[in-house]
Amino acid sequence: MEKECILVVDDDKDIVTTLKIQLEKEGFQVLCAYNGMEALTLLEQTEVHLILLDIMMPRMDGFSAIMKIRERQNIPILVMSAKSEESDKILGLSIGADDYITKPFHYKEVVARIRSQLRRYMKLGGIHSSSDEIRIGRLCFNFIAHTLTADGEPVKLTSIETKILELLMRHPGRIFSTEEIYANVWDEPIAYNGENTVMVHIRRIREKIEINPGEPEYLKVVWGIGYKIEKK
Amino acid sequence: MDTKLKKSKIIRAFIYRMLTAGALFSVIFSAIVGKDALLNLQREGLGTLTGDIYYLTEFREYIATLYMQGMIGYAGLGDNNGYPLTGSSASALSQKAVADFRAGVAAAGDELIYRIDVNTFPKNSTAIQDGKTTAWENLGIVKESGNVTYPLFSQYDGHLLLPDDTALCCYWNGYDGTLTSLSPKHFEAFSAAQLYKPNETNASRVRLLLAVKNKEHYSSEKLAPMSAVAKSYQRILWVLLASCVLLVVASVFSLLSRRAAVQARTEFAAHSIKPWLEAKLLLLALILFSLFVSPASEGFALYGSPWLYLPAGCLLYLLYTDLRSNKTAVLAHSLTYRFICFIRTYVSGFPWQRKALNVCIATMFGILTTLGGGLWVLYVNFKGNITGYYTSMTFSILGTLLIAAGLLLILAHIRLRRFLRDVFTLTRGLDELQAGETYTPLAFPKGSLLSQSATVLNALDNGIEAAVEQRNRSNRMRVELITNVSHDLKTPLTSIINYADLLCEENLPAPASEYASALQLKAYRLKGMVQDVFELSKATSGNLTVEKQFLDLAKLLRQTLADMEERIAQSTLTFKLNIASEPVMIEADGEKLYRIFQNLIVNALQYSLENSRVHIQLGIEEGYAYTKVKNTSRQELDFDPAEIVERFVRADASRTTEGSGLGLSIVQSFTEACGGSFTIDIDADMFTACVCFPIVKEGEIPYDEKS
Repeated sequence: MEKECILVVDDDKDIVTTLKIQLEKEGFQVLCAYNGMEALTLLEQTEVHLILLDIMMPRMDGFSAIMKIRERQNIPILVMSAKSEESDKILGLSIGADDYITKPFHYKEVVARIRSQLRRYMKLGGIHSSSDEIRIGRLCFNFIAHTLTADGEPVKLTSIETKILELLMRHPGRIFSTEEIYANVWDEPIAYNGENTVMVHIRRIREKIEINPGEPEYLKVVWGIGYKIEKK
Repeated sequence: MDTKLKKSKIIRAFIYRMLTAGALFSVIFSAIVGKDALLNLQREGLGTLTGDIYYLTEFREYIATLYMQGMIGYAGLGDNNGYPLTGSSASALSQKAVADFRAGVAAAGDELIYRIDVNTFPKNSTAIQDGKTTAWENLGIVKESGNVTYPLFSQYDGHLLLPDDTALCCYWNGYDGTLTSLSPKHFEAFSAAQLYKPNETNASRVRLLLAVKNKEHYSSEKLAPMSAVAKSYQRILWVLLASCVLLVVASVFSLLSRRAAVQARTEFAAHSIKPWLEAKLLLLALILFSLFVSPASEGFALYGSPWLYLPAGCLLYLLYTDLRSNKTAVLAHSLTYRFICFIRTYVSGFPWQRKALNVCIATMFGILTTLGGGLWVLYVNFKGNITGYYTSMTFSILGTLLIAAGLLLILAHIRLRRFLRDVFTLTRGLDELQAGETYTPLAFPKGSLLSQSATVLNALDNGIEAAVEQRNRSNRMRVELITNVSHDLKTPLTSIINYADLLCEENLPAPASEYASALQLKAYRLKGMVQDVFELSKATSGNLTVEKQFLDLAKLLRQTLADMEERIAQSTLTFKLNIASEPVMIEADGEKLYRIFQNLIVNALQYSLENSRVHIQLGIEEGYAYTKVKNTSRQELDFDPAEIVERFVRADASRTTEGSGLGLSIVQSFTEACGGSFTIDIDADMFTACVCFPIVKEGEIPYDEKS
């Protein structure tokens, strides 16, 4: 299989260098650029499958670059920025970025996110939604087969975990209290230490479906109330 | 253009305006009144007999004037006093009168009228002292003209021939001057005349006047003074003409000085606000009175003297300008309003204000009693009820002194009121400043006793404003600094972490690999610290976004403990929980609360004595939920509880343990941002962190939040 080509854009040369080494180790072909203008020039010359982009750069910043790229191309764009404010993330995602990673990051997380985006971009062409399944971001739950796929890859879940996830996936955005989850999954009123049991299961599911379980994107705890699947 | 106009120019512009308005008013009013007067004149005719026709010389020429003194008749034409006549001369004259009357006055169809004057004269004097005049009454209509016979006078002797249908029975004999018969019933005048007997002290003259009604102008101009109506009509015409001229001239001037006029009006308004509304209303009443109520001396006219129209118009313009510029502020400058204010302050003010106003009221009573008493004493004395020179003298002095005391009290009262007003304003300013409301700088009038204090207060406000501004600016700068620094830290840190990761993946020889992993570990700790610093800085500078919602604190604690179960299990510590199973509802940001308890638990995990117990309790006291995390410290707790929440202060001075040293600071900042309070209690080696939030009662939670 031909190597996927990734364009890394950051004005900090060390970040670009280390990312290049790490990504090449992971089997990607890596192109480097140090500002938005260079990135755009490279994009015209070569076929690129994914862009890893910094926001604060000289000559052309990341936001302008994203808008320029989106005028022509539909490839995944991952933003990596030192700005960790929620508002920055929302701005980045709303003008066309596909994901947002805050600096300092662990390169394994970057690799995981790149793979996730690439799988979706390369393999899952269109969204063929049916009533049998629900698709939320990179997750897809099939209610007939009771199976979950993340970026098209099946995720192995225990039966309890499947039941919890099915309950939550049927109502994205709705908050379920521990009691509700317990009553629905175990089919009996909440037992002593039920909260802990549910929480442990939730944590395990999170480790399986989230790229960074420490900062979950999908399965979230609503502190003091319950749990929910984020509506994407 | 030039906004600063000369004072004299402004004043002149204002005067032009005022004169224009006054002239306009005068023109309009005199036109209306003039038309009325003209109508009157036409209706009555020039020979209107309502008033002093007697004084019209040309009428007098044609009136048979009959004098009677006692029962002996005098007759003749006369001046004011008439001339006494005797015998044949009387006859001759009366005949002449009749002839004249016949010749010039009464034509056929004319209506004749009569009047009787009774005048009393002191003997040997020509001045009329007292008079009694009957009203003019109809005598009848002249039946023939130019003929020998006149219906009212006998051809030969000048007998007054009365129409059959009148009850007048006055018969005057032209030859011997006796009045033949007179009905006392109709002629009070005659009876009055009879009372004045001849040869007594007061001689009486009774005069019978005849005139033709509605006859116009019988003789030459110079002999004919106008009637009152005509006179006032002419005056009105003059005023109208003069007003028209003034109107034109003043309009031209005021058009030329248009620009200054606007400023003039504002300047005038600033002064015109000062007098009380009541005074203005009184002025308005006076103006209206002078316009519509005629002075008693004027015989005619419903209206006042035309010469008053212009000044009245000017004054009306002033009042209008005042009302237009100052609008409702005019109402506030009235005695009534001040009285209402006084009552309001008295009723709803602070107790000390009421007490201060009590003093005012006391002085007012003092004024009333001293002035009233003084006036009364003087009045009684003046009436002469006090007898005796010394007593009267004493009373005079006493009254004068009382009045002087009253006047002094008035002065004192005014000063007291002003002082109190300033005190009230000053305290209001203080209250505003204290409450942090918008403070309007105080400006006391010159000579106010408190102007010094007002200046101090104003300066204080300025100082506070400057301090707040300074604090805001430094806060803003701090946030910017934090953002920039954190970006500048994060970028190289990313490279460090990446290089450390790469280094660890290389198969390095023994000591080098250890150094690499140490580097990696410290790099990750640095990452955590940078994030902590960033969050704490945001929280302490008030830039933390807090999304409050209703949540169950007990459940949140259980969730947090479950979330951290692995780390707890790995430690040697035992966690003892005492958390209610029923919901404890509070309003706070769930994410922040999670960080608070996570930090407290991590704190306990890091600093507790090995194999000891950590107690987590959730208790409710007087509407507040207290969450306590208690642990036994590994090291001696020899620091101040207040000190430990300071940034970067850590229990171990050597700082060998993990953590940024910001944990408790973050807990405190986040707790306060969510509306709770955080306290630390140290008892020997027992460390207790307590987070306190007010409990939300069941009824206060909106329905949609309950699910």
